[in-house]
Amino acid sequence: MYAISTDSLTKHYGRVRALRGLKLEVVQGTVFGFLGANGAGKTTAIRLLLGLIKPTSGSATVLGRDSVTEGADLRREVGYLPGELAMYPWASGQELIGLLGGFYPETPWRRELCDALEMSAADLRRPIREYSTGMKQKLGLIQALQHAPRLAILDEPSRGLDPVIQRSFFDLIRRISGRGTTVFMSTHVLSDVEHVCDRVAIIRAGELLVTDDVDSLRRRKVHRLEVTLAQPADMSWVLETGASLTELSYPPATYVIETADRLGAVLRRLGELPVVGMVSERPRLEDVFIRYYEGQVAKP
Amino acid sequence: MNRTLLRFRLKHSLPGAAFALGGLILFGLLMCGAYQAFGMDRNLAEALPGSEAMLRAMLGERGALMWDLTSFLAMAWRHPIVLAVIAGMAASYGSAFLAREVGDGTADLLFSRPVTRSRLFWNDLAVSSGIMAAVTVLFSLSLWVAASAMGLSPPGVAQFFRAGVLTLAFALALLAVAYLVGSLLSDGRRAMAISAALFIAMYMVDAVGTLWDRVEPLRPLSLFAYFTPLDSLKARPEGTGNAIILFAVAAAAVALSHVVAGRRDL
Repeated sequence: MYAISTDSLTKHYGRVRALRGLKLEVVQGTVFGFLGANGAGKTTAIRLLLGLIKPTSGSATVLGRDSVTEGADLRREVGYLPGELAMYPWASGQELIGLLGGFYPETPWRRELCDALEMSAADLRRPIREYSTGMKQKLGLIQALQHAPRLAILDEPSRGLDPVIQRSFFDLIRRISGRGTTVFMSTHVLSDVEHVCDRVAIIRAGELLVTDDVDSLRRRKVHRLEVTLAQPADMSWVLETGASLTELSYPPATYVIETADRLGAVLRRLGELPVVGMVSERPRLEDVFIRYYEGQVAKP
Repeated sequence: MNRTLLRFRLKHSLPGAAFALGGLILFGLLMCGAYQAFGMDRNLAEALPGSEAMLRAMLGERGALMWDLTSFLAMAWRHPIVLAVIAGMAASYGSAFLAREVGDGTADLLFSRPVTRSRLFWNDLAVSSGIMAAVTVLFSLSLWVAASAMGLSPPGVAQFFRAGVLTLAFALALLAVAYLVGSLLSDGRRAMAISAALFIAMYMVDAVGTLWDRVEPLRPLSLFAYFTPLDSLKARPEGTGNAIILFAVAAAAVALSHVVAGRRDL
């Protein structure tokens, strides 16, 4: 069962093609990362899912309901954190949460959320115009999750959060996911995705590039080895394996070898050489993301 | 209706509305006080031959002017200060619902709730029109109370009621036009400026049309031409007809803005 399913979802603003034929399926109960650079079409897709804007063509189904014709009903079970979070500055945090929470049945979850995000009653009594960016973001998360939604759509959720609160936020996401809530998280912060997401989609210029499990995507990474030898050696064999080679410095004789799928062969050959140092970085999703963005990986 | 939303809107609209109403009541009191203290019936009657055109423009009256307390009260009612307050409130409330919400970005929060746009629209309109009704009716009532308390022998309360209803119809027509402008735009300040410019243009058409025959054919296009409290105070049938026209304009503009608000992207 899909929490979100889109079929050829397209949105044009005049001549600007903000979203082109998006086909996306988000399984219920997963934490789904929606990755893309600024202006890639992430927010447009989210606004289409929520029925805030109407598609030029195609359709979106959220929790089994059509986003255009059943927008109000589907939003009953959705919590939404906007990317460009704007609030009524004259209202207090308490007032805003009361106003936005007044559309749903009351749950005890709000108190827990405030505690998890370290938002005290005194903080909530203050006018929003006195809030820092991080406090506004926390308030945004509280209003989005206070009614224990079945689907949480979070647009750039960790923006403005300090590292300590970010950690609490990730714990919170894992907790709500553990309770069965589907989390659809749009971001361009790749570490956020690596922390909490099960699956990820990458979007560029309004077009979906790939959808895959985070682990599987990570396996598509390029292994980068920085190798230092006791003395220079003939390294042409590296190119024969299909890996790339860069001579970094001499002395000492340092080379950078990058390979996607020939790591075993490279390591075996390196074992025959006088290796005095080797650095291998933890595989980063960022590398995969950048490769997709730079068109180095063909669309599946 | 969503009570939380109604309370929220009311709470943040009432201080401004109370300030505007206080100003209007004070203005009415000052006008009645000045009429009594300075014998303005005589002064204005003497000044009438020289300034009749200007007074007719202020009153929106095409025919010959008879100067008396009723005309004076009607002038107070249609004084540019009163019109500016009513039009300003209408432009402000009308631009707040969609244009300002979208422009400021708060629409993402409000419109992502499990509620239809239609319901949000009616909620907002209920608050705005309720405030406009309270301000116009209380202002009308305060004029009658002030004139009666000062022993000026104003027209009967029934005529004041008619003038109050006409003022309400006028205020609602302006409000509905401002809602229509606000429904079409995505910037609150721009929507407010356009509504205000539209109202000023309509006022100018009405005032100039009263004085200059070449512009007179355009007067029916101005909502101000139908705001004739003198007709209501003198119990002329035109007052009732004008109120009906203004209510009809308000209903049409509200219906149109409801359609636009429902169809547009946020």
